[in-house]
Amino acid sequence: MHIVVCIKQVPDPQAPAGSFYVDEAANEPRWSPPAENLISTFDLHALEAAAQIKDEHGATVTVISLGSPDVEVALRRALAAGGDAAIRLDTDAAPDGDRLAVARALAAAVRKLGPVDLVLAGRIAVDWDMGHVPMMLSELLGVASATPVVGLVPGDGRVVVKRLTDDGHQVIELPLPCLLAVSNEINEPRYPTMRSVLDAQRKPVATWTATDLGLEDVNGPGVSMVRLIGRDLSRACELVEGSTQEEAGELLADLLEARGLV
Amino acid sequence: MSNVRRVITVLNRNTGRDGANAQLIGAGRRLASAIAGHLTTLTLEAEEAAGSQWIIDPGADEVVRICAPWLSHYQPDAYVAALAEACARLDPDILLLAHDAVGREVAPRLAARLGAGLVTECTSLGADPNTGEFIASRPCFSGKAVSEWTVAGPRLTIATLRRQPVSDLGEDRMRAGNVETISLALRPPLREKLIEEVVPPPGQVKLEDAGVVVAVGRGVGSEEAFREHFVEGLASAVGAACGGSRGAVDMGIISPELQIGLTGRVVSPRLYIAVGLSGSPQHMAGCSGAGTIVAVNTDPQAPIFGYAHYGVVGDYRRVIPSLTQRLKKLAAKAL
Repeated sequence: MHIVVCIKQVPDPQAPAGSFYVDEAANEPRWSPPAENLISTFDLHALEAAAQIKDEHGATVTVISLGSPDVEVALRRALAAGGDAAIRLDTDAAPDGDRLAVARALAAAVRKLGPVDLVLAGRIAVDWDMGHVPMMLSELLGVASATPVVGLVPGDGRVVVKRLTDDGHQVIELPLPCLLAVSNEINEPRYPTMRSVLDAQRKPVATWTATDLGLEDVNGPGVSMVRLIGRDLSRACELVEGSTQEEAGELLADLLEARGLV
Repeated sequence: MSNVRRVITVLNRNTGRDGANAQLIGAGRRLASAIAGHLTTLTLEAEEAAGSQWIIDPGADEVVRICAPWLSHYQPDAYVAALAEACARLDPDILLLAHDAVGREVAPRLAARLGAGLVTECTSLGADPNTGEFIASRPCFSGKAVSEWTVAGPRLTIATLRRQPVSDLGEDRMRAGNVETISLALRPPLREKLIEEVVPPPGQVKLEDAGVVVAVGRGVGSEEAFREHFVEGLASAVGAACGGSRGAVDMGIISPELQIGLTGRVVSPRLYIAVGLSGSPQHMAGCSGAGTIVAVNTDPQAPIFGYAHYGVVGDYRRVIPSLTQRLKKLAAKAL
C-alpha cells in the first residue's frame, strides 16, 4: 500500500494569544516573540494514521509539503513520525496563496508518484483555518473523499471511514484510492524516538519544481486576501464581586437579568 | 442569459425552515441586493417537495428544485455533480452554501471542478460599493484575526456562510417568485456507501440553535459534578444547551459530539456561560460569535477573562448554585 500524507508547516498554534499581532502595513500575521514553526496539528494526526496502517498492514508512506526550503524541517520531523520518503514542492504557488494553485501542485506530485492507494491530510491547517486543499486535491485526482474523519479501517480495495456530521457521525465505505482529511479524535500522535529522529536524517528528501511536475499554469482563480485585521483580545471583562462567592453568583444573576440576557 | 448578476443559495433540505436555512436565504438576499442582482434558491432532493413560498417570503426571487433519485441522501459525489450541473445551467456569479458538514466537503470540491474562487466560513458577505466586487470576511488564526477576501472577476465565486446568531428576517408575505423544477437525467458515479448513521435523540436542543449555551471545561472536574450542577440546574433554569471544551471531552465530562471549538461545533448564542473553562484560542474559535460571554473560573489569569464580558473569579461549585437559584427566583417573579 502506498500512502501519501500532505502536510503544512505552520506557526505554533499553541503560542500565547498575546504574542500574536497583525502587521497592518504588510497585511501579515506576526508573533512576538516569534512562534516556532511546526507541522500543523491535524497533519500530525494524518501522519499517525499512516504510521498505524504501516505498522498493522505494511505500507510505504510518502510525505509531501509545498513551500520554501525551511519546510524541510517539517518534512524531517514527518520522516521521524513514520514517513519513508519526503518531497518538497518548489513551485510558484505559495502555501498561503491561492489554495487551488496549491492543490494543483499537490495533485501533479501525487500523479508523478505513480499508483497511490490513500492520500491523508489534516482537516484544516491551523493557521488560516480553511481546509480547502484536501477536498480540492481529491477532486483534481478524481478520487472519493471525506472530512472530518475520526476513524478509518482499511480493507481490501476499500476503507471504512467514520466521518463527523453536524450533530452525529456516519460510518461510510469508500473505494481506494481515496483522500481522507482527518481530525484529532482519530488517534494520539506518537512521540518520535531518538532512533526515529536519527533514521529520519538518512531518509531522502527530494525537491520537485514546477518543471518536474509538468505544471504550466499554476495560477489559481484569483482569490486574494485584501485585509487582515487583528482582533482586540484585551476586552475589559467586568468582574462581578461579592462578599462571598455565593453572593457573587447572585449578583451575576441580577446583572444578567438587568441586561435582558436571561 | 441576461446581464443581471445572479446569487444562488443552496438550502439544506433535511432541515427545512430552520434557522440555518433562514440565515442562508437572508444572507443571499442581502448579497443579491448589494450587487443589484437576482437571488435564486436551490433545493436538492429526490423528488419535489411541496411548498416553496417559505423560501420566497424571506427574499428569494426564484426557487429551483433540483431533483434526481440519487439525491435521496447526502453524499459528496452526488451533491458536487448536481451543483456543477446547476451552475452550468444557471450560470451564477456567486454560489452560497452553509458552512456545515455538507459545505465543508462540497464547496472545495466544486471549486476545484469548476475552477471557481472559494471563500469559506464567511461571517460577512458583501460587495465593494464602487466596483461591485465580491468581498467576504472570515475568521482565521483561531479567531485571533479576521481576514477580508476578494475574488477577481468575472468568474464564479463559491462561498460558505458560518452560522450566525439568529436574526429576524423581516418576511414579506406579499412577495412573488418563480418556482422551477429541474430533473437531472445524468447518473454520476456515486462512490460512497453509507453503512451507519448516528444522529442525536430527538427533542434535544441543537447547540447551534440554542439561545443560551452553558460550556464546561476541565475545571468542572467530573461528569458527576457536571450532572449535579448543570444538567438539572443552571442549564434547565435558563433553557440552555450544554457543550464544552476538548479538555472536558478528554476528561469524559461531556460526550465528543458536544465539543465546541475549532474542532467541533461552532455556536453563536445570545449568551455563552463558560464554567471552569480556560479559554484556549482553539475553543474560543467555536464561540466567537456569541453575543455575551460570561466566565466563572478560579484562576483570575485564565485567558477566558480576556474574551468574557462578565466574569466571576471563584469556585463554580459555590458560584453556580447561587446563580441558578437566583435566576429561578427571578424567573418565578416575572411570571
